[in-house]
Amino acid sequence: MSAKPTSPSGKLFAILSSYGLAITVLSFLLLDTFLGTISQKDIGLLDSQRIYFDSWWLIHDLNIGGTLIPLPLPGGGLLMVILFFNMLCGAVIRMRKGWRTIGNLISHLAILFMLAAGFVSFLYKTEGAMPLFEGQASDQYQSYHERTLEVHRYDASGKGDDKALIIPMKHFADLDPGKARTFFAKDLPFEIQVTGYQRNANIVQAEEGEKTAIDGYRIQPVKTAKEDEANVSAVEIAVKSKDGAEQKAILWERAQEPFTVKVGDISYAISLSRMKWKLPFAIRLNDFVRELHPGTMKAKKFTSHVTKISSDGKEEPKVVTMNVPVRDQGYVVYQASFSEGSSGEQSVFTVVTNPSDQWPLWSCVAVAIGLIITFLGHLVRFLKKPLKTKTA
Amino acid sequence: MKTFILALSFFTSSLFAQLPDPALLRDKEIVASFQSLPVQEGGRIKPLDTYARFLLLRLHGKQSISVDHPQLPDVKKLKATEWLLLSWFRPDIARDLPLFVVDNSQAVGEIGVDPKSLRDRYSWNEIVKGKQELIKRAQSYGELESDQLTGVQRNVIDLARNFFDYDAVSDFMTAARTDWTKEISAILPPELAKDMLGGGNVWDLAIKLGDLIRDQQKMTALGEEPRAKLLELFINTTLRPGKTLSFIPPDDAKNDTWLQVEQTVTSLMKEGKLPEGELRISKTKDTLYAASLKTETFGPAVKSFVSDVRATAEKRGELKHVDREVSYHKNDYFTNALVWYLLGFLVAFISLLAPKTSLSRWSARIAWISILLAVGYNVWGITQRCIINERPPIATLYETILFITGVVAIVGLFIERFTRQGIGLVVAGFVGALGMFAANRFMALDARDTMPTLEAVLITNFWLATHVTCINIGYAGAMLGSITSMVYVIYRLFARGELVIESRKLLTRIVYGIVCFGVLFALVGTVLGGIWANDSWGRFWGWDPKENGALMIVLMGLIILHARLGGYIREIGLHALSLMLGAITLFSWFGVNQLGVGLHSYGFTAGISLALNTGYSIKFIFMFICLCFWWNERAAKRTLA
Repeated sequence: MSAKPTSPSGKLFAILSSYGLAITVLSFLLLDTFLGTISQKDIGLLDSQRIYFDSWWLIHDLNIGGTLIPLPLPGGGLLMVILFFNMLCGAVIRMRKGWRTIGNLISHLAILFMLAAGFVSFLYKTEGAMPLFEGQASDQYQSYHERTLEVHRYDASGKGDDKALIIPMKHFADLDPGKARTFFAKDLPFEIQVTGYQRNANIVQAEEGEKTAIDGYRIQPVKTAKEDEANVSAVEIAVKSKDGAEQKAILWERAQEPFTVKVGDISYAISLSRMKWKLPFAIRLNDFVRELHPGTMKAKKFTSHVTKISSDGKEEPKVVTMNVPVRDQGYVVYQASFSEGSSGEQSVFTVVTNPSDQWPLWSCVAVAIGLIITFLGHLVRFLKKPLKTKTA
Repeated sequence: MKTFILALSFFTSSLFAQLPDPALLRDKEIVASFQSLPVQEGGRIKPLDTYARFLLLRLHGKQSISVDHPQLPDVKKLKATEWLLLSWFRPDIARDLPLFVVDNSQAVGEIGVDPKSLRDRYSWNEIVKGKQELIKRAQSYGELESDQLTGVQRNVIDLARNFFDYDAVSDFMTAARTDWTKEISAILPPELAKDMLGGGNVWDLAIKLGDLIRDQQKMTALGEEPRAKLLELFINTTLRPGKTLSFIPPDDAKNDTWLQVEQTVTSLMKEGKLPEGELRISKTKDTLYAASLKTETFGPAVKSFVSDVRATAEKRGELKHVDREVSYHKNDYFTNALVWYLLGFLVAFISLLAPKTSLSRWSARIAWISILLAVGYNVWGITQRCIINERPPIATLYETILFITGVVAIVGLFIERFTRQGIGLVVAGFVGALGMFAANRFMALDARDTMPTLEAVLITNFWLATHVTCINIGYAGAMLGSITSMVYVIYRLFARGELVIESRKLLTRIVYGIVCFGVLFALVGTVLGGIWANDSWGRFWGWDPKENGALMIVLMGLIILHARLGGYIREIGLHALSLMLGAITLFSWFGVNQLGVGLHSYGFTAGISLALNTGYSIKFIFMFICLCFWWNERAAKRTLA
């Protein structure tokens, strides 16, 4: 056995590469996964993911006989970072290299690659919905969860400079009533103060004399839905121009029209909406086919016959169906669901771009090879070792 | 005209005074013919036998019904199809049989019916006394949120659904039994009645009724009360019972939805005509009743009717697995497997109790044969299901039990082949018997066809064969490891002698090997699941409860392997953690389905909390015993020091 390290860096490396750290991290991950799973019943998937898995640390309220005991825990994000370095130090750098350990090395490298895939996905993946009626075409998809506060500028002729200011949700989602933040841009003739963000809300008529009312209306918070797609957010803004004038407004995701501010000949449309991304091509839905199991309302297959329209106008027919998405130019288009209304059948696609899309597949193959080599070695050694018989 | 109606009445009343002989409804050939009648239910074509079995299972809790009725002397039990035929042709007897299982007798007390014991059974004739109260209460409870309902309220809702479903089923032949001349003459004026009663059957009547409904003048002249009575008569005798079974293959080969009498009779009223095949089969169903009044006519009539439907289904390419499914149920592979597993376990246990004797050697041989037979039944049953469903073995929770049990038993036999200590046989026999029993109980609790059509996202043989199979082998490894650890605990508690320490070491090595096996499949299966999710929903990992459950198994497996490699656990520690892995596997396998959230909604189950909590408790008790072992060992070491 090698001597114990004495230098601080050696000690740190010894800790980082230890089995003890691996067991501790895996145990906390197990606990977080368990708590995050059962919490979904009460708080839904998105909040559970945010609290338990995408976090650095968390406080779980342990319910013991009706008494809530706050239990501080490391979050999933922190644990996965530590696990990455633990595997790198312990199972790659420190491990003895040889034929007996080749399987272990391969499987650990593959899991490191899988964690890297998760990290790349966390940073660069975009995911959103693209609902289309038959005959309709679009080159945009919008996020399921991320909201943005957008300011669009239009000149006197009504032509628009697409986006004058985009404020992502992370900059205003914490602004409960009473908390405010001001946003400005150098080419905007006003600044916007944002306050009172509600993740799920209705807009109702205010009582007479109500102080918080804006133009006779106010935001009425609604219990947050477990499925975040069902939440309709709202926020209050105050537009303060440089001459000191102030206009207040309520922005609501379901508002038919944006709030408009006019400065000189220029109009500014301010709205709260889901984050949108543009595809490098457009998709037109030609035909949507919904097959049901005979005599039931149970879905058997959803198929969308679409046309991909490239930026140069070239058209190409494609078929998107359950379990068989269309991959093109780094984007993947999935058949997600459908809806039926008075305007006809609407096919809903999920559009995803993820640089690490196929990495888990390669990683899975490598993990399997590594583990098979390792465990076959164990099995051979197990079978070679003589067993005591009953007649000892 | 009066003479005509009187003559017709006399002729028909003589027909209606007769009743079919109940013995005829248990005739082997007749029952076999009906069993093989293809029908469509839940989106697939299946034999009437399957329909009858799962209907009876839902209403009665069993696939056969015990009988004690004066009109059925010498009959102790009816099989599902026999019971269905009795309900169709002799509802007067069938409605006396104790059919509806009610978990809590308070539910029947609530509707004014005399309660019996808990989980007792009640006949249609008993429940009908509280029918109005049953409707009232079921409607009011139905308005409550599902999670607010008490057990008794759920029982009332279930009883109402079962009662009215059976009410319609037992009226299936009512249209054929109805004395239309008498009924129509009592409602309509004589002139109109004579005009309507051309053929004296519901099919000719439907055409004329359609004409009448379209003739606004005649309808107005008829008056409100006769109109309402006519509608009520038609609903109760024909439309409501006609909704219970889709047994009419459409003449249009492109239409894959089979028809019910309610649909054909409605079409006939609307259009005045029906495609030839649909009308023929619809009408033949009613002629079966008249044929059932005579012994010599019933058999040929049934044969001709069933052959007609089967021939049409065959032409449409929809008959291919019907006979195999009848045979699958008849052979009852999994009950046979249960018996052989149990026998194997008991004999293997005897062999462990008396080592080094000829009894032990012979017991081991018998246990081998017995468990091999059981595995044969288990695997053959699964294979039959794969052929019938035309897909890989696992797509439902019920199928996971069958598959995991089979894998555990096969791995147990492999362990026995290499160790020859009797442990593999005991574990294989025990898990096999427990698994087959659990599968049987699960089917009874769920009371739905165990071969349902699948949700769109699951219709992919590639992923069912790879991800689902892999992950279930992982579950099997984890369960086998944890049960072997339970054997270790029991062995350590009770076994004494020279060989004890060696045997304990062997058990520990076996568990370690099984955990490695389980982790390999669980990890690869979990990642494959992620890749499937990426192909279906556009994300590799979504923290869905079922995905998390699989991840927890992998994490626990990795904790065990690293703790063992790092020297943190030895013998007792390994078994304690293996037991914990078993508890986590139970949570992942069944527990997460109780949460009722997530994308794997097809796996939701209710009513298994007690069994699940018992499973967790057993694992924790064994873990506690491991803790005591550790404490003892520590104290002994201190004393020696």
